[in-house]
Amino acid sequence: MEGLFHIIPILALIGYSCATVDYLRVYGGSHSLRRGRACLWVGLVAQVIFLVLELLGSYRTEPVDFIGVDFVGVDFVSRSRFPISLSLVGIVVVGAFLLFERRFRFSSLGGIIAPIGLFLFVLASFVFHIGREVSQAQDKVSVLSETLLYFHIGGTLLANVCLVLSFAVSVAVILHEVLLKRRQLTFIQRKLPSLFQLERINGYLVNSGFLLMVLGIGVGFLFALVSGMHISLLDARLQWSAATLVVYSLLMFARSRGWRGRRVAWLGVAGFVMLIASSLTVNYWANTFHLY
Amino acid sequence: MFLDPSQKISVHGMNHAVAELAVREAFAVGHAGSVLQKIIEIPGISEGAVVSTCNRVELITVGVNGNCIPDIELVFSEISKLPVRAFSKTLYHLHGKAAVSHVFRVASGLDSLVVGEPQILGQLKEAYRMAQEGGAAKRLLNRLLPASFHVAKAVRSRTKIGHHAVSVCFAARELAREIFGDLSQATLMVIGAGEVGTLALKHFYSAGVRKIFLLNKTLANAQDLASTCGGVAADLADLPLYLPRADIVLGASALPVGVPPLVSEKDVTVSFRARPGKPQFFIDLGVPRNFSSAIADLSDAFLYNIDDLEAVVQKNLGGRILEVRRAEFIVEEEVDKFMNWLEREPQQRDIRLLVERCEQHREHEVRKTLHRIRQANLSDQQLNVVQAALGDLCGGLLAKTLHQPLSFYKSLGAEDSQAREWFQRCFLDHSSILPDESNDESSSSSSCAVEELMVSGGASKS
Repeated sequence: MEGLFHIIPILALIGYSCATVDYLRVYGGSHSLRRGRACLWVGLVAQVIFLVLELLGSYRTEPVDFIGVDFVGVDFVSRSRFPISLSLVGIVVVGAFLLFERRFRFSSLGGIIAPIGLFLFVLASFVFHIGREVSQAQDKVSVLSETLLYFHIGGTLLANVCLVLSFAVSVAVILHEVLLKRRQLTFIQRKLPSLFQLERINGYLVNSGFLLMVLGIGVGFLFALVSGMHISLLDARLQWSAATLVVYSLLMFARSRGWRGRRVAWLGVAGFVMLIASSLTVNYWANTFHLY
Repeated sequence: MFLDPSQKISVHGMNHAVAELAVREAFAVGHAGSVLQKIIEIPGISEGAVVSTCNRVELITVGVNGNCIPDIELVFSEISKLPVRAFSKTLYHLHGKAAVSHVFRVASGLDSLVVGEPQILGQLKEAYRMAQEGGAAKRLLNRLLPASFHVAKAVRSRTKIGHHAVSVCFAARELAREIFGDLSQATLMVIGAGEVGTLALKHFYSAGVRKIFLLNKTLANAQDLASTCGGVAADLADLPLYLPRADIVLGASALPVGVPPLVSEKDVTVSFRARPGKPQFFIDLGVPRNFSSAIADLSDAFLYNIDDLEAVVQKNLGGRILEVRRAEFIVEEEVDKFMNWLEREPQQRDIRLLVERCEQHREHEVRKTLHRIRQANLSDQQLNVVQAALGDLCGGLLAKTLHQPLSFYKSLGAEDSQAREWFQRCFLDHSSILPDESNDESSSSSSCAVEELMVSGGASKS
């Protein structure tokens, strides 16, 4: 079992790395995406298996106390689950791309998605799992709205997935537009979908991601209210989430005012940077009552 | 006497590389039928095809070479109404493998002015059709030209020689696709209904653009052009009205020198207010320029003038040159295959003739013997059995007898002319060493089965 914990992440790393190289080679004029696609599948499956093993490894049968409620099953409490969250986001991003690339003919976006998958996997796997103490003592609550908690976690996770994909498409838009503005028509552009299609995809992703983020945060507040938690507005997670929400709100406002192309794409990139920065800061340098 | 088969195919003519347009124009063939008739009447030539395009005039012939060049030159002289001495040095005469290679390269677009252009294949197919209709395409041309179409298809599918724009209008269309994707949803505005505007409009129309505005100084000209494509014609003065409605704006107006551009940066800024969030693609084919260069600085505007489009075309051409090497390799392989077939063809023909002859003898002897056997008053069933047995007996005897000499003959190879002469004298009448081509064609399909039966071993029948 311990051997699997070493082999499988290495397999995932190799899969993602080879996929990144192959998809990037397409921009250089190479024809076939078959090998790249296969490598990406290998990386994805290996990452899923690794995640499952991790979750099984942390499975507990004795109850663990969390805000006065006894949890059994997967231990989300005594260890930071930030790496798991990152893994999940990476898995869904890469999985969504692989499922829909042929349907919507944006295989060439693999040159951006594959590196993102690799980055998220590396971040999730090689960052230390640090323990986290719950920063505030909580009173026992009689009723725990588990459903609200799961919706909060699921909503924000899906929001992150949409916004990460939006980042990938934004990069493609910037690249495409910069080259067109320079009056160039290169292999990269020929492999990418048209600017119009890229912006349409980006629009769907940003709209979905923003909506899910707002819903996820809203449900989180609801959960805190129902469970009687005392929320400090100085909490790091809340502050960083608010800042991220502001950036994406700006993006939505800009789109509603007719902004398009590179300007909106740069806002998408800024939003992604905020996502990563908030996750890293909250998990490793700041205090928060959030688990991750 | 036995002829060297690899010298039978010839190509005589001129192309853009050896003759200027002014010279080639004189040789444009209006009606290929009459030219084909003249070619076939030349002694020694049995097949012919005429390829006449804006970049070449070529006669593909099958027959005896060397002796017919003066006659071919006379044909060219009749086409152009020029004396032979005026153009004889311009003509090239290719024979054998060089001729086959040339035909394959022409079909693949490797010999074209714009390498990889696809139109030549259609023109070659038309030439073949005319040759078939005129009865000038027989065994060899029926093999050569379809083979050249196959080679052209292989080159186009296995290389990227036909990819990417190599003309300014194609480049503009390609760029518009990069921005808008499906052009059938885009709106095109063409400013200027002259030659350039018309040509560009044709390219975009063929790409699927259907929402078209045509603006011209003279409304009547715009209306004439609009009627051909279902577009909307308008006066040039209405430009500010139509500008916000167009996704692709194509300037092809011949402005006098010193006149300011038709569309300025300010016009475009105003236009964007009416179409927020939608990019506009400006294609300036005019010299002097129709659009202000400051338009390129606007974030939602893409401006390409003729120099920019030429740069895209040059880059594409550079890419094609790399593909040419791959295409040449494919053509070389196919030429070798064709020449192998050509070299073996006379040997195969001799064998086929012998096998047909044997089949005729077999049928004749069986009929003769059956006639005698009928006198024995056998029943129909018995007669059928006897007939079948006789047929098998004769077939088996012939197959066994001929198996060794045929195998030996094939093993000698096509280049052994002495062996061929011996074979023809031993097994075929001298008078029928070179039978009519028409006989060859009609018997080719039935004799294949017979040849298989005999050469693969009528022994199976025994």
